[in-house]
Amino acid sequence: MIYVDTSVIIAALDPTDPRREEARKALELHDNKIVSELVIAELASVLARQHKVLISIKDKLGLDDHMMASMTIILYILKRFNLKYIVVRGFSRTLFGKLYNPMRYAIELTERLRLKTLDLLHLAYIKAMKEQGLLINTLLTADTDFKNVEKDLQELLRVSIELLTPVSQ
Amino acid sequence: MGSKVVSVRLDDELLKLVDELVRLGVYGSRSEALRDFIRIGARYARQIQMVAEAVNKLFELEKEEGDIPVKLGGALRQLLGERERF
Repeated sequence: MIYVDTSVIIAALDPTDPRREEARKALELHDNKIVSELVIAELASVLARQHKVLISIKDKLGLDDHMMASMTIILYILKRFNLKYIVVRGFSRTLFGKLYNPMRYAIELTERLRLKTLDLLHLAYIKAMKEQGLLINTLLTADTDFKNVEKDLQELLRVSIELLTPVSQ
Repeated sequence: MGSKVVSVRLDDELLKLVDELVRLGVYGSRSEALRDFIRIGARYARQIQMVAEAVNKLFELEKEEGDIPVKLGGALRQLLGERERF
């Protein structure tokens, strides 16, 4: 089972990015692809700042507002690439009080992984989904930060990284 | 516009809410409250229907244009840049 990072979905839709074709092939070739609510939130955030795209889709499809256009695009993307949204459940008692499990795992992972918050949260969702019994073995991403900690991820989460070919700076 | 009587089984919690709103004077009767609840729900359901139809239209557009009809120029650079900041 493959956890798909937002970066791959965005790469597949970005005509200016050299990884677009690779991203599309990866999304179309693999089976058993899943996403979290964090992926959906990141997609919504990116779309909210693509005003021209939202206006164009809203007008073409006769929708009421930008929010409906954004929801339509996200649902289309999930369906188009056969991405299954997995609901993460559960809270834990911690020293801080009650915490949503992905947040708790993100905090715990900071000890071993020196990653930025959003990267940590994606890994925390993978951990939470695995705790729910999902057999996730791969993280598909265009974000090189994950590749830099691949050894730790193998050890901590038993997940390998499939990275779209990095673009040389 | 005609109307029909429909029998609906409600759980205790929902019925308690309806009765409380009637008691507070928000609605004149259980029927009035439930009609409003259904109207609010129907508005939301109509939006879901519109979005579902729009998703199908995007697939039709993809067939017509021969490509995914959503193009997010520069979005990946933006996303990865933001992740670096947080």
